[in-house]
Amino acid sequence: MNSLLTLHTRKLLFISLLAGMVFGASMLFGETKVIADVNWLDVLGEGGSALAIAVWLVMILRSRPAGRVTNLLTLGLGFIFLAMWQDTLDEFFAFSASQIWENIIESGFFPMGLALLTYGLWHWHKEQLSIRSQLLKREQCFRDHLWIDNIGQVAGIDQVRAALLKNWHDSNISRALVFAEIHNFSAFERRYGFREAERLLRESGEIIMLNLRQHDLMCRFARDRLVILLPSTNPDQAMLIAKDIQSAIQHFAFRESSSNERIHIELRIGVAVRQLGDLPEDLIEKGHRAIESASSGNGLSLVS
Amino acid sequence: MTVAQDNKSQWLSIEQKYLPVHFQLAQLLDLVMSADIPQHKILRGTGLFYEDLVRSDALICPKQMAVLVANTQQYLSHQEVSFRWGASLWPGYAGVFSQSLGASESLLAALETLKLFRHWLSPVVVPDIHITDTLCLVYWKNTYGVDEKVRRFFVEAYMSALVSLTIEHSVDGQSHWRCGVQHLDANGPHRVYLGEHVSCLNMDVMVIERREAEIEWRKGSMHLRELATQQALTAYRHVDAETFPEAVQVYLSSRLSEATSVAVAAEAFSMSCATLKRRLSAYGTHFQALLDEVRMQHSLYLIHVLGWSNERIADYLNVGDSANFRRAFKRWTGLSPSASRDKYASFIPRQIKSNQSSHTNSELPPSGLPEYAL
Repeated sequence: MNSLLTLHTRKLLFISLLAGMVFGASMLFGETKVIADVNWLDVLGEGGSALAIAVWLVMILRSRPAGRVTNLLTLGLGFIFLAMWQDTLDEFFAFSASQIWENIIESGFFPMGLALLTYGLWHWHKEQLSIRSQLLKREQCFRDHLWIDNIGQVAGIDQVRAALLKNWHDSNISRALVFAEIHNFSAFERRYGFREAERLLRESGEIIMLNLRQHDLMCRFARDRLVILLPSTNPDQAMLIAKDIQSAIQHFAFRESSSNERIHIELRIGVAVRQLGDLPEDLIEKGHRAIESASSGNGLSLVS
Repeated sequence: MTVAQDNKSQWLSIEQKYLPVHFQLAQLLDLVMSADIPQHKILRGTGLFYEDLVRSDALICPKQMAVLVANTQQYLSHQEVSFRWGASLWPGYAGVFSQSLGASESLLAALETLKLFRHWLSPVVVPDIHITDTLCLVYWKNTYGVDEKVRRFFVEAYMSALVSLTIEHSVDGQSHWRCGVQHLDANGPHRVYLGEHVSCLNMDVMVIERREAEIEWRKGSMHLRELATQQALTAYRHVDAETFPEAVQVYLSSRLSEATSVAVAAEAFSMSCATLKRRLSAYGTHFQALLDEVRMQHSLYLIHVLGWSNERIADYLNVGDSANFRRAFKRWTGLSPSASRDKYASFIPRQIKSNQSSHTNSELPPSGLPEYAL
């Protein structure tokens, strides 16, 4: 939680600096009141408000990522805080009528802050609505990521390539790519329709994901061709993981929505292992060859 | 001599409503609906309503199909939509045409059906299919001059359709098609949908060895196919099965070695030069473009499959000497004949090339590229 606050330290420092400057200016240009003249009830009320607003500000900043909505809320609460702070200070200092800056801070900052806060809250409200709709359609989101969003798809294989490039020159680190395809996916799509095919892919993807380690990376290349990057994995380990995935899918009871028919799913898997002198592109090409030979052969093949 | 039949004054046009609405659109609309896109958005500008889609007698024209695809691209911008639609397209729901295609006893028979009913099974971007002694070639042509983006969508869809059909019906579950596409994205879906033999060429073409295409398919039945073919021919006799540019290209292909001009062609079609030009421009093309395309197709075949020398092709095509031919070839394809030889090296099946190289100097006539059927 505290890590979020570190995103906003500059904002907090800036507001504290302004509050300090206002305090300094009051010392400089105002006349200190005698203790007997201080209205302690006002100090309590106005000082308490300023303190409460400062607490709100910290709470909001601790719970929010950086962004426009956060900036607006910070600005709004910051102005209100400064107005309240000046209001508190003038209980201790008397200002002559010529000190216009004091008047501006005390009376002008408050409505300005309110306006900004309102504008920020309006955006926050919109943000909440869209988050809510996303939560309602969590499934939809996942599907969007898989099929509809072309950025998602391209970023997928690009992500794998970027991850491959990391420490690529270090040939001591072994890497394996696992390419997986659902056997007869096209026939399934033709028979049961696009929606069912998407669901099958999504659910199979989740099952495969459950069988991967934390640092493995999975993406979809196209159609049902999934690409899994296994970092620091030797060929034997990669084959073991591939077989585990294959048997997990074999035990997956996929039921067709309308008829409740149980459909037997088989996974074809090709494993590509990096050799000295390979470029990331070569490894990906090997993966394609591996899955193509797995599809025409016994379902599991290794290209190294 | 006239080639146009006396009773044929009409050719298929982009605005002719001859396609039953459910033929291709059933799957496309399923795809769109699975992405939760409202149908009215996809139908915008087509003049179609949802009620039309469920009417069995509603007919649409190629132009409406092109608009539908353009709308689909706008709302479903995913790169894979064309391929997915294609993969589910054939044999499909195109009535007797699908029955005929689905009952094919081999890929060769399926290609014959596709050639015969190309305007029903594959409207807008229509295949130009050539079956030679050794090869089957499918060129995908922008018959009506539609927008590049739309053309590409159809090419991807139909290529994916043909590959899927082959995989689904062949005994080994493999497609041996080699696909050449103008736009190839190495990280794109081409490789997954079209198979491992996809190359980036200057045209959209598919090729397979004839002996592969002759292998018997599962679930095929010659009798059922012939029955469906006869039914289709009878039921749709009233529709012209050819566009005017196709007819002109058939005419040009048969007279490659002769000097041709607009005037000669116009006379053959019993029309004035102006009428011929006007008719062609209605398809977004012109005489020279068609002539160039025919010559390009033949020279590609002669270079890459029959292995003829530049001199021999120049002589055969009646384009002057070999330097003239090189220049002309570069204008047609953007490549010199030698660069083209390199580019197509991996595209033409090796088997074919080695077979042909033994009789490079033989007098093989290029009758390999036959006329259109129908």
